[in-house]
Amino acid sequence: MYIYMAVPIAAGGRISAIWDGKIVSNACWSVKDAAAGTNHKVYQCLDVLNNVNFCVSVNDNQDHYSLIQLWADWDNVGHVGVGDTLSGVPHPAATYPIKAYASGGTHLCYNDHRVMWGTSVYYQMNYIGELKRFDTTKDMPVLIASTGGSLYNPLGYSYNTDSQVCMACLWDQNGAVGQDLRMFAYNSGYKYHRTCNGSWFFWETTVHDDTSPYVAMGYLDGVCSMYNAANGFANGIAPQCGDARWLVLGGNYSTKFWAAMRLT
Amino acid sequence: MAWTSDIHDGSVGKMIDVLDTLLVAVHATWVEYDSFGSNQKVYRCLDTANSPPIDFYIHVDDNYANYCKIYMYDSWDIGSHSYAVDTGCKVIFGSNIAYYPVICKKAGGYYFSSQDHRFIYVDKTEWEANYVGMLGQVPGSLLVQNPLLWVASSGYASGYNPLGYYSESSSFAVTEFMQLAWGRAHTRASAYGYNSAYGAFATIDGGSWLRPTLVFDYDNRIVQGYFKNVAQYYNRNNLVNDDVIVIGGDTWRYVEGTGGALSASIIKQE
Repeated sequence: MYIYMAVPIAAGGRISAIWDGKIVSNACWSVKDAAAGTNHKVYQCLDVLNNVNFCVSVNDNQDHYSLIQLWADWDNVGHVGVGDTLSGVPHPAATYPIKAYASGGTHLCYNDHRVMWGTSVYYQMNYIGELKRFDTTKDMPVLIASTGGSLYNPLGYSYNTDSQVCMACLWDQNGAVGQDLRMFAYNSGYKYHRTCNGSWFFWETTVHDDTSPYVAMGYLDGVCSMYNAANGFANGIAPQCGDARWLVLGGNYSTKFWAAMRLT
Repeated sequence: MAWTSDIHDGSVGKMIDVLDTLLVAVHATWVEYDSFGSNQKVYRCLDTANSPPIDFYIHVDDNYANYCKIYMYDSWDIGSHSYAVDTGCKVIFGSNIAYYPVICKKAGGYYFSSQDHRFIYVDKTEWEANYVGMLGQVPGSLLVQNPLLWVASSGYASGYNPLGYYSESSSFAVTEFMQLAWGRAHTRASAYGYNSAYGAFATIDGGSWLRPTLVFDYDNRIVQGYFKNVAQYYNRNNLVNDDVIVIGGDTWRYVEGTGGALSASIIKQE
Protein backbone atom coordinates (compact mmCIF):
# COMPACT_ATOMS: atom_id res chain seq x y z
CA MET A 1 0.00 0.00 0.00
CA TYR A 2 1.37 3.43 -0.97
CA ILE A 3 0.06 6.70 0.41
CA TYR A 4 1.42 10.22 0.14
CA MET A 5 0.69 12.45 3.10
CA ALA A 6 1.45 16.10 3.40
CA VAL A 7 2.63 16.66 6.97
CA PRO A 8 3.58 20.33 7.06
CA ILE A 9 4.60 20.43 10.71
CA ALA A 10 6.15 17.29 12.10
CA ALA A 11 5.27 17.97 15.69
CA GLY A 12 5.35 15.20 18.28
CA GLY A 13 2.64 12.62 17.73
CA ARG A 14 2.38 13.04 13.99
CA ILE A 15 4.34 9.91 13.13
CA SER A 16 2.47 7.69 15.54
CA ALA A 17 -0.73 9.12 14.10
CA ILE A 18 0.37 7.76 10.74
CA TRP A 19 0.93 4.35 12.27
CA ASP A 20 -2.46 4.50 13.97
CA GLY A 21 -4.32 5.79 10.98
CA LYS A 22 -2.78 3.75 8.23
CA ILE A 23 -0.48 0.91 9.13
CA VAL A 24 -2.66 -0.87 11.66
CA SER A 25 -5.33 -1.13 8.98
CA ASN A 26 -3.25 -4.07 7.79
CA ALA A 27 -4.32 -7.21 9.62
CA CYS A 28 -0.73 -8.18 10.44
CA TRP A 29 -0.13 -4.93 12.34
CA SER A 30 -1.77 -3.90 15.60
CA VAL A 31 -1.35 -1.50 18.51
CA LYS A 32 0.41 -3.40 21.26
CA ASP A 33 0.63 -0.55 23.76
CA ALA A 34 -1.25 2.71 23.21
CA ALA A 35 0.09 4.30 26.41
CA ALA A 36 3.78 3.58 26.57
CA GLY A 37 4.41 7.24 27.31
CA THR A 38 3.62 10.70 26.02
CA ASN A 39 3.30 10.30 22.25
CA HIS A 40 4.89 6.91 22.66
CA LYS A 41 3.17 3.82 21.26
CA VAL A 42 4.18 0.28 20.45
CA TYR A 43 3.03 -1.74 17.46
CA GLN A 44 3.22 -5.44 16.82
CA CYS A 45 3.71 -7.21 13.52
CA LEU A 46 2.36 -10.75 13.88
CA ASP A 47 1.97 -13.35 11.15
CA VAL A 48 2.37 -16.77 12.72
CA LEU A 49 1.97 -18.66 9.46
CA ASN A 50 4.99 -16.84 8.05
CA ASN A 51 7.13 -16.82 11.20
CA VAL A 52 6.90 -13.09 11.79
CA ASN A 53 6.52 -11.69 15.29
CA PHE A 54 8.16 -8.51 16.53
CA CYS A 55 7.27 -5.21 18.19
CA VAL A 56 8.13 -1.68 17.10
CA SER A 57 8.42 0.99 19.76
CA VAL A 58 7.68 4.43 18.29
CA ASN A 59 8.55 7.22 20.72
CA ASP A 60 7.19 10.24 18.90
CA ASN A 61 7.51 12.90 21.54
CA GLN A 62 9.96 15.06 19.57
CA ASP A 63 9.59 17.37 16.62
CA HIS A 64 10.67 16.07 13.22
CA TYR A 65 11.55 12.51 14.16
CA SER A 66 10.58 9.53 16.28
CA LEU A 67 12.84 7.18 18.21
CA ILE A 68 12.47 3.63 16.95
CA GLN A 69 13.27 0.37 18.73
CA LEU A 70 12.59 -3.25 17.86
CA TRP A 71 11.62 -5.66 20.60
CA ALA A 72 10.85 -9.35 20.76
CA ASP A 73 7.81 -8.50 22.88
CA TRP A 74 6.33 -5.69 24.92
CA ASP A 75 4.69 -5.52 28.35
CA ASN A 76 1.68 -3.25 27.88
CA VAL A 77 1.03 -3.09 31.60
CA GLY A 78 4.50 -2.16 32.77
CA HIS A 79 5.07 -0.34 29.46
CA VAL A 80 8.52 -1.82 28.96
CA GLY A 81 10.14 -3.95 26.33
CA VAL A 82 10.48 -7.68 26.88
CA GLY A 83 13.27 -9.93 25.68
CA ASP A 84 15.67 -9.25 22.84
CA THR A 85 15.93 -5.73 21.53
CA LEU A 86 17.44 -3.59 18.85
CA SER A 87 17.33 -0.27 20.62
CA GLY A 88 20.38 1.68 19.58
CA VAL A 89 23.77 1.61 17.94
CA PRO A 90 25.87 -0.32 18.72
CA HIS A 91 23.25 -2.88 19.50
CA PRO A 92 21.45 -3.03 21.79
CA ALA A 93 23.18 -0.28 23.83
CA ALA A 94 21.60 3.03 22.90
CA THR A 95 24.78 5.05 22.39
CA TYR A 96 23.15 6.48 19.31
CA PRO A 97 19.35 6.41 19.28
CA ILE A 98 17.71 5.27 16.10
CA LYS A 99 15.70 8.03 14.52
CA ALA A 100 13.19 7.98 11.74
CA TYR A 101 12.59 11.41 10.29
CA ALA A 102 9.30 12.44 8.81
CA SER A 103 9.14 16.18 8.36
CA GLY A 104 7.46 17.45 5.26
CA GLY A 105 5.51 15.31 2.88
CA THR A 106 5.76 11.62 3.63
CA HIS A 107 5.69 8.80 1.11
CA LEU A 108 4.45 5.83 3.12
CA CYS A 109 4.64 2.23 1.88
CA TYR A 110 3.53 -0.65 4.02
CA ASN A 111 2.47 -4.25 3.68
CA ASP A 112 2.13 -7.33 5.85
CA HIS A 113 5.70 -7.43 7.08
CA ARG A 114 7.40 -4.10 6.60
CA VAL A 115 6.89 -0.34 6.78
CA MET A 116 8.97 2.25 4.99
CA TRP A 117 8.70 5.89 4.22
CA GLY A 118 10.53 8.62 2.41
CA THR A 119 10.42 12.27 3.37
CA SER A 120 10.50 15.35 1.23
CA VAL A 121 12.42 17.61 3.61
CA TYR A 122 15.26 15.39 4.80
CA TYR A 123 15.08 13.23 1.66
CA GLN A 124 15.61 10.15 3.79
CA MET A 125 14.12 6.67 3.63
CA ASN A 126 13.50 4.35 6.58
CA TYR A 127 12.80 0.63 6.54
CA ILE A 128 11.26 -1.31 9.43
CA GLY A 129 10.37 -4.99 9.23
CA GLU A 130 11.14 -8.09 7.24
CA LEU A 131 13.14 -8.53 4.09
CA LYS A 132 11.94 -10.80 1.33
CA ARG A 133 13.69 -13.61 3.17
CA PHE A 134 15.59 -16.44 1.52
CA ASP A 135 14.54 -18.62 4.46
CA THR A 136 11.05 -17.77 5.63
CA THR A 137 11.35 -20.08 8.63
CA LYS A 138 13.63 -17.40 10.13
CA ASP A 139 12.20 -14.30 11.78
CA MET A 140 14.74 -11.56 10.98
CA PRO A 141 13.18 -8.10 11.21
CA VAL A 142 15.57 -5.33 10.23
CA LEU A 143 15.77 -1.64 11.02
CA ILE A 144 17.42 0.77 8.62
CA ALA A 145 17.15 4.37 9.79
CA SER A 146 19.21 7.35 10.95
CA THR A 147 21.25 7.76 14.10
CA GLY A 148 22.34 10.97 15.74
CA GLY A 149 21.53 13.93 13.55
CA SER A 150 22.64 12.29 10.34
CA LEU A 151 21.85 13.87 7.01
CA TYR A 152 22.54 10.60 5.17
CA ASN A 153 19.78 8.72 3.44
CA PRO A 154 19.84 5.44 5.40
CA LEU A 155 18.53 3.22 2.61
CA GLY A 156 21.07 4.64 0.19
CA TYR A 157 23.96 3.84 2.49
CA SER A 158 25.65 0.46 2.34
CA TYR A 159 26.43 -0.63 5.89
CA ASN A 160 25.94 0.12 9.59
CA THR A 161 27.93 3.10 10.80
CA ASP A 162 27.15 4.06 14.35
CA SER A 163 26.96 7.84 14.12
CA GLN A 164 25.01 7.96 10.84
CA VAL A 165 23.01 4.89 9.89
CA CYS A 166 21.57 1.97 11.78
CA MET A 167 21.50 -1.07 9.52
CA ALA A 168 20.86 -4.06 11.72
CA CYS A 169 18.50 -6.92 12.43
CA LEU A 170 16.74 -7.83 15.65
CA TRP A 171 17.78 -11.44 15.00
CA ASP A 172 19.91 -12.91 12.28
CA GLN A 173 19.40 -16.36 10.72
CA ASN A 174 21.16 -17.95 13.70
CA GLY A 175 19.12 -16.07 16.27
CA ALA A 176 21.96 -13.72 17.21
CA VAL A 177 20.63 -10.38 18.47
CA GLY A 178 21.41 -6.95 17.05
CA GLN A 179 23.70 -7.91 14.20
CA ASP A 180 25.02 -5.38 11.71
CA LEU A 181 24.08 -5.74 8.05
CA ARG A 182 25.40 -4.57 4.72
CA MET A 183 24.10 -4.11 1.20
CA PHE A 184 25.13 -6.06 -1.89
CA ALA A 185 28.46 -4.83 -3.29
CA TYR A 186 28.88 -2.91 -0.03
CA ASN A 187 30.36 0.54 -0.58
CA SER A 188 31.08 0.29 -4.28
CA GLY A 189 30.25 3.60 -5.90
CA TYR A 190 29.89 1.84 -9.23
CA LYS A 191 26.21 1.07 -8.92
CA TYR A 192 24.84 2.65 -12.03
CA HIS A 193 21.19 2.38 -13.04
CA ARG A 194 20.79 5.09 -15.66
CA THR A 195 20.17 3.32 -18.94
CA CYS A 196 20.91 3.98 -22.56
CA ASN A 197 17.24 4.58 -23.39
CA GLY A 198 17.25 7.68 -21.19
CA SER A 199 15.57 6.00 -18.25
CA TRP A 200 16.60 4.07 -15.14
CA PHE A 201 16.43 0.46 -14.17
CA PHE A 202 15.73 -0.49 -10.57
CA TRP A 203 15.89 -3.83 -8.83
CA GLU A 204 15.56 -4.94 -5.24
CA THR A 205 18.88 -4.95 -3.38
CA THR A 206 20.03 -7.92 -1.32
CA VAL A 207 20.98 -7.46 2.33
CA HIS A 208 23.82 -9.50 3.81
CA ASP A 209 25.53 -10.54 7.00
CA ASP A 210 28.29 -8.11 7.89
CA THR A 211 30.91 -10.83 8.36
CA SER A 212 32.46 -13.25 5.91
CA PRO A 213 31.11 -15.06 3.92
CA TYR A 214 28.48 -12.29 3.85
CA VAL A 215 25.54 -14.58 3.19
CA ALA A 216 22.47 -12.94 1.75
CA MET A 217 19.47 -12.81 4.10
CA GLY A 218 16.95 -11.49 1.62
CA TYR A 219 15.92 -8.65 -0.66
CA LEU A 220 14.84 -5.22 0.50
CA ASP A 221 11.14 -5.30 -0.30
CA GLY A 222 10.69 -2.56 -2.88
CA VAL A 223 14.04 -0.80 -2.44
CA CYS A 224 16.97 -0.35 -4.78
CA SER A 225 20.01 0.91 -2.87
CA MET A 226 22.72 2.63 -4.94
CA TYR A 227 25.20 4.22 -2.52
CA ASN A 228 26.82 7.34 -3.99
CA ALA A 229 26.74 6.42 -7.67
CA ALA A 230 26.29 9.40 -9.97
CA ASN A 231 23.20 8.31 -11.83
CA GLY A 232 22.05 11.80 -12.65
CA PHE A 233 19.40 11.78 -9.94
CA ALA A 234 17.74 14.64 -8.13
CA ASN A 235 15.95 14.34 -4.81
CA GLY A 236 12.29 13.62 -5.29
CA ILE A 237 12.15 12.41 -8.87
CA ALA A 238 9.78 9.50 -9.35
CA PRO A 239 10.40 7.79 -12.70
CA GLN A 240 8.21 5.04 -14.06
CA CYS A 241 10.15 1.78 -14.35
CA GLY A 242 8.29 -1.26 -15.55
CA ASP A 243 4.87 -1.36 -13.97
CA ALA A 244 5.64 0.89 -11.01
CA ARG A 245 6.78 4.36 -10.13
CA TRP A 246 9.86 4.63 -7.93
CA LEU A 247 10.74 7.55 -5.65
CA VAL A 248 14.43 8.50 -5.65
CA LEU A 249 15.99 10.18 -2.61
CA GLY A 250 19.61 10.83 -1.67
CA GLY A 251 19.53 12.56 1.70
CA ASN A 252 20.64 16.07 2.64
CA TYR A 253 24.35 15.45 3.08
CA SER A 254 26.75 16.95 0.52
CA THR A 255 27.46 13.43 -0.74
CA LYS A 256 24.20 11.88 -1.74
CA PHE A 257 23.47 8.27 -0.93
CA TRP A 258 20.78 7.26 -3.35
CA ALA A 259 17.98 4.79 -3.07
CA ALA A 260 14.80 4.21 -5.02
CA MET A 261 11.61 3.12 -3.26
CA ARG A 262 8.85 1.38 -5.21
CA LEU A 263 5.62 3.25 -4.61
CA THR A 264 3.31 0.30 -4.28
CA MET B 1 20.28 -21.27 -27.32
CA ALA B 2 22.68 -24.12 -26.80
CA TRP B 3 25.19 -25.24 -24.20
CA THR B 4 27.99 -27.63 -25.19
CA SER B 5 30.70 -29.35 -23.22
CA ASP B 6 33.45 -30.93 -25.33
CA ILE B 7 37.21 -31.33 -25.67
CA HIS B 8 39.78 -30.46 -28.31
CA ASP B 9 43.50 -29.95 -28.58
CA GLY B 10 44.97 -26.47 -28.62
CA SER B 11 46.26 -26.53 -32.18
CA VAL B 12 45.65 -23.96 -34.89
CA GLY B 13 42.15 -23.83 -36.32
CA LYS B 14 40.38 -25.32 -33.33
CA MET B 15 38.43 -22.19 -32.42
CA ILE B 16 37.21 -21.89 -35.99
CA ASP B 17 36.03 -25.50 -35.78
CA VAL B 18 34.04 -24.63 -32.67
CA LEU B 19 32.45 -21.55 -34.23
CA ASP B 20 31.62 -23.34 -37.49
CA THR B 21 30.03 -26.27 -35.68
CA LEU B 22 28.41 -24.75 -32.64
CA LEU B 23 27.56 -21.22 -33.75
CA VAL B 24 27.07 -20.97 -37.50
CA ALA B 25 25.46 -24.37 -37.88
CA VAL B 26 23.02 -23.68 -35.06
CA HIS B 27 21.99 -20.04 -35.40
CA ALA B 28 20.70 -18.49 -38.62
CA THR B 29 21.82 -15.10 -37.36
CA TRP B 30 25.49 -16.15 -37.51
CA VAL B 31 27.13 -16.81 -40.89
CA GLU B 32 30.65 -17.34 -42.14
CA TYR B 33 31.35 -14.14 -44.07
CA ASP B 34 34.97 -14.53 -45.18
CA SER B 35 37.67 -17.20 -45.11
CA PHE B 36 41.23 -16.38 -46.06
CA GLY B 37 44.90 -16.87 -45.27
CA SER B 38 45.84 -19.48 -42.76
CA ASN B 39 43.05 -20.29 -40.33
CA GLN B 40 41.40 -16.91 -40.55
CA LYS B 41 37.67 -16.44 -40.80
CA VAL B 42 35.19 -13.64 -40.40
CA TYR B 43 31.73 -14.30 -38.97
CA ARG B 44 28.81 -11.96 -39.32
CA CYS B 45 26.00 -11.63 -36.84
CA LEU B 46 23.06 -10.24 -38.76
CA ASP B 47 19.50 -10.01 -37.54
CA THR B 48 17.40 -7.85 -39.83
CA ALA B 49 14.26 -8.87 -38.03
CA ASN B 50 15.34 -6.76 -35.11
CA SER B 51 14.60 -3.07 -35.25
CA PRO B 52 17.13 -1.55 -35.47
CA PRO B 53 19.02 -4.45 -37.15
CA ILE B 54 21.85 -6.21 -35.37
CA ASP B 55 24.89 -6.33 -37.63
CA PHE B 56 28.51 -6.84 -36.61
CA TYR B 57 31.55 -8.89 -37.68
CA ILE B 58 33.98 -11.07 -35.77
CA HIS B 59 37.41 -11.67 -37.25
CA VAL B 60 39.04 -14.78 -35.79
CA ASP B 61 42.75 -15.29 -36.44
CA ASP B 62 43.12 -18.88 -35.32
CA ASN B 63 46.63 -19.54 -36.61
CA TYR B 64 48.12 -19.89 -33.14
CA ALA B 65 48.43 -22.75 -30.70
CA ASN B 66 46.56 -22.35 -27.38
CA TYR B 67 44.81 -19.09 -28.29
CA CYS B 68 43.21 -17.17 -31.10
CA LYS B 69 43.11 -13.47 -31.71
CA ILE B 70 39.61 -12.06 -32.09
CA TYR B 71 38.49 -8.65 -33.33
CA MET B 72 35.14 -6.95 -33.81
CA TYR B 73 34.09 -4.55 -36.60
CA ASP B 74 31.02 -2.83 -37.94
CA SER B 75 31.87 -3.78 -41.57
CA TRP B 76 34.12 -6.09 -43.54
CA ASP B 77 35.37 -6.13 -47.15
CA ILE B 78 35.57 -9.63 -48.59
CA GLY B 79 37.68 -8.52 -51.53
CA SER B 80 40.55 -7.14 -49.50
CA HIS B 81 39.89 -9.28 -46.44
CA SER B 82 40.05 -6.26 -44.24
CA TYR B 83 37.98 -3.71 -42.40
CA ALA B 84 35.80 -2.10 -45.06
CA VAL B 85 35.34 1.43 -43.80
CA ASP B 86 37.11 2.58 -40.68
CA THR B 87 34.39 4.36 -38.73
CA GLY B 88 36.18 3.74 -35.47
CA CYS B 89 33.51 1.24 -34.48
CA LYS B 90 35.94 -1.62 -33.94
CA VAL B 91 37.64 -3.49 -31.15
CA ILE B 92 41.23 -4.33 -32.02
CA PHE B 93 42.88 -3.70 -28.66
CA GLY B 94 42.06 -3.01 -25.02
CA SER B 95 43.69 -0.54 -22.67
CA ASN B 96 46.40 0.18 -25.24
CA ILE B 97 47.46 -1.08 -28.64
CA ALA B 98 49.77 -3.71 -27.19
CA TYR B 99 46.86 -5.56 -25.63
CA TYR B 100 45.09 -7.28 -28.50
CA PRO B 101 41.98 -9.35 -27.77
CA VAL B 102 42.49 -13.06 -27.29
CA ILE B 103 40.52 -16.16 -26.40
CA CYS B 104 42.44 -18.91 -24.66
CA LYS B 105 41.72 -22.35 -26.22
CA LYS B 106 44.25 -24.64 -24.63
CA ALA B 107 44.10 -28.39 -25.01
CA GLY B 108 41.46 -29.89 -22.81
CA GLY B 109 37.82 -29.29 -22.24
CA TYR B 110 35.69 -26.30 -23.03
CA TYR B 111 32.14 -25.04 -22.56
CA PHE B 112 30.37 -23.13 -25.30
CA SER B 113 27.15 -21.20 -24.89
CA SER B 114 25.52 -19.79 -28.01
CA GLN B 115 22.61 -17.47 -28.63
CA ASP B 116 21.41 -15.55 -31.65
CA HIS B 117 23.45 -12.46 -30.78
CA ARG B 118 26.28 -13.62 -28.54
CA PHE B 119 28.49 -16.55 -27.57
CA ILE B 120 30.53 -17.51 -24.53
CA TYR B 121 33.63 -19.69 -24.70
CA VAL B 122 35.06 -21.17 -21.49
CA ASP B 123 38.53 -22.68 -21.53
CA LYS B 124 38.61 -25.45 -18.91
CA THR B 125 42.39 -25.54 -18.62
CA GLU B 126 42.92 -21.96 -17.49
CA TRP B 127 39.24 -21.67 -16.54
CA GLU B 128 38.74 -18.47 -18.47
CA ALA B 129 35.35 -17.31 -19.78
CA ASN B 130 34.95 -14.91 -22.69
CA TYR B 131 31.84 -13.03 -23.88
CA VAL B 132 31.37 -11.95 -27.51
CA GLY B 133 28.34 -10.09 -28.84
CA MET B 134 25.25 -8.37 -27.61
CA LEU B 135 24.14 -7.75 -24.07
CA GLY B 136 20.64 -8.31 -22.84
CA GLN B 137 18.64 -5.11 -22.82
CA VAL B 138 17.13 -3.67 -19.68
CA PRO B 139 13.31 -3.74 -19.63
CA GLY B 140 11.75 -1.04 -21.70
CA SER B 141 14.85 -0.52 -23.82
CA LEU B 142 15.13 -1.29 -27.50
CA LEU B 143 17.55 -4.00 -28.56
CA VAL B 144 20.11 -1.60 -29.94
CA GLN B 145 23.39 -2.16 -31.69
CA ASN B 146 26.07 -2.10 -29.00
CA PRO B 147 28.06 -5.36 -29.32
CA LEU B 148 30.73 -6.09 -26.79
CA LEU B 149 34.05 -7.91 -26.75
CA TRP B 150 34.88 -9.03 -23.20
CA VAL B 151 37.82 -11.40 -23.58
CA ALA B 152 41.42 -12.05 -22.50
CA SER B 153 44.57 -10.56 -23.97
CA SER B 154 48.24 -11.45 -24.22
CA GLY B 155 48.24 -12.60 -20.60
CA TYR B 156 45.76 -15.37 -21.34
CA ALA B 157 48.11 -18.03 -19.96
CA SER B 158 48.12 -16.44 -16.50
CA GLY B 159 44.76 -17.86 -15.55
CA TYR B 160 42.89 -14.58 -14.98
CA ASN B 161 39.26 -15.08 -15.86
CA PRO B 162 38.32 -12.08 -18.00
CA LEU B 163 34.55 -12.48 -17.60
CA GLY B 164 34.99 -12.45 -13.82
CA TYR B 165 37.02 -9.27 -13.94
CA TYR B 166 35.21 -5.96 -13.52
CA SER B 167 36.73 -4.01 -16.39
CA GLU B 168 39.73 -3.62 -18.65
CA SER B 169 43.03 -4.80 -17.21
CA SER B 170 46.14 -4.48 -19.38
CA SER B 171 47.10 -7.96 -20.55
CA PHE B 172 44.33 -9.81 -18.71
CA ALA B 173 41.03 -8.40 -19.92
CA VAL B 174 39.83 -6.50 -22.97
CA THR B 175 36.40 -5.05 -22.23
CA GLU B 176 35.24 -2.84 -25.07
CA PHE B 177 32.00 -1.95 -26.75
CA MET B 178 32.38 -1.85 -30.53
CA GLN B 179 30.03 1.10 -30.43
CA LEU B 180 27.33 2.44 -28.21
CA ALA B 181 23.64 2.81 -28.75
CA TRP B 182 23.92 6.42 -29.88
CA GLY B 183 26.70 5.69 -32.36
CA ARG B 184 29.81 6.50 -30.38
CA ALA B 185 32.83 4.44 -31.39
CA HIS B 186 34.60 1.83 -29.29
CA THR B 187 34.42 2.52 -25.59
CA ARG B 188 35.61 0.83 -22.42
CA ALA B 189 32.98 -1.28 -20.67
CA SER B 190 32.73 -1.98 -16.95
CA ALA B 191 30.57 -4.14 -14.74
CA TYR B 192 28.09 -3.14 -12.01
CA GLY B 193 29.68 -2.92 -8.59
CA TYR B 194 33.07 -2.62 -10.26
CA ASN B 195 35.80 -3.88 -7.94
CA SER B 196 33.73 -4.39 -4.83
CA ALA B 197 34.85 -7.56 -3.15
CA TYR B 198 31.45 -7.84 -1.53
CA GLY B 199 29.47 -9.27 -4.41
CA ALA B 200 28.33 -12.26 -2.37
CA PHE B 201 25.76 -14.70 -3.72
CA ALA B 202 25.49 -17.33 -0.98
CA THR B 203 22.20 -17.26 0.94
CA ILE B 204 21.27 -18.17 4.50
CA ASP B 205 19.44 -21.31 3.39
CA GLY B 206 22.58 -22.80 1.84
CA GLY B 207 21.58 -21.79 -1.66
CA SER B 208 22.49 -18.92 -3.90
CA TRP B 209 20.86 -15.95 -5.53
CA LEU B 210 22.07 -14.71 -8.89
CA ARG B 211 21.32 -11.73 -11.06
CA PRO B 212 22.92 -11.17 -14.48
CA THR B 213 25.40 -8.35 -14.14
CA LEU B 214 24.73 -4.88 -15.55
CA VAL B 215 27.37 -3.49 -17.89
CA PHE B 216 27.94 0.23 -18.26
CA ASP B 217 29.96 2.65 -20.35
CA TYR B 218 32.97 3.44 -18.18
CA ASP B 219 33.17 7.03 -19.39
CA ASN B 220 29.66 8.22 -18.65
CA ARG B 221 28.37 5.43 -16.36
CA ILE B 222 25.31 4.73 -18.45
CA VAL B 223 24.08 1.15 -18.39
CA GLN B 224 24.06 -0.46 -21.83
CA GLY B 225 22.53 -3.76 -20.80
CA TYR B 226 23.41 -6.91 -18.89
CA PHE B 227 25.43 -10.04 -19.52
CA LYS B 228 22.98 -12.59 -20.86
CA ASN B 229 23.08 -15.49 -18.41
CA VAL B 230 26.21 -14.35 -16.59
CA ALA B 231 26.60 -13.11 -13.02
CA GLN B 232 29.97 -11.71 -12.00
CA TYR B 233 31.48 -12.55 -8.66
CA TYR B 234 34.60 -10.42 -8.42
CA ASN B 235 37.40 -11.55 -6.13
CA ARG B 236 35.45 -14.21 -4.29
CA ASN B 237 36.53 -17.80 -4.00
CA ASN B 238 34.31 -19.81 -1.70
CA LEU B 239 33.47 -22.03 -4.67
CA VAL B 240 35.87 -23.76 -7.03
CA ASN B 241 36.05 -24.03 -10.79
CA ASP B 242 33.31 -26.15 -12.34
CA ASP B 243 31.08 -26.07 -9.27
CA VAL B 244 27.40 -26.10 -10.10
CA ILE B 245 24.68 -23.90 -8.64
CA VAL B 246 21.06 -24.85 -9.23
CA ILE B 247 18.43 -22.14 -8.84
CA GLY B 248 14.81 -22.78 -9.72
CA GLY B 249 15.75 -25.71 -11.94
CA ASP B 250 18.39 -23.73 -13.84
CA THR B 251 21.99 -24.89 -13.70
CA TRP B 252 24.74 -22.30 -13.44
CA ARG B 253 28.44 -23.11 -13.85
CA TYR B 254 31.11 -21.45 -11.70
CA VAL B 255 34.33 -20.26 -13.39
CA GLU B 256 37.03 -18.29 -11.55
CA GLY B 257 40.31 -18.82 -13.41
CA THR B 258 43.44 -20.47 -12.06
CA GLY B 259 45.77 -17.63 -11.17
CA GLY B 260 46.17 -14.27 -9.55
CA ALA B 261 43.12 -12.68 -7.98
CA LEU B 262 40.37 -15.20 -8.53
CA SER B 263 37.50 -13.48 -10.29
CA ALA B 264 34.43 -15.51 -10.96
CA SER B 265 31.70 -15.59 -13.50
CA ILE B 266 28.70 -17.82 -13.03
CA ILE B 267 27.18 -18.86 -16.33
CA LYS B 268 23.73 -20.28 -16.87
CA GLN B 269 23.88 -23.47 -18.89
CA GLU B 270 21.72 -22.79 -21.90
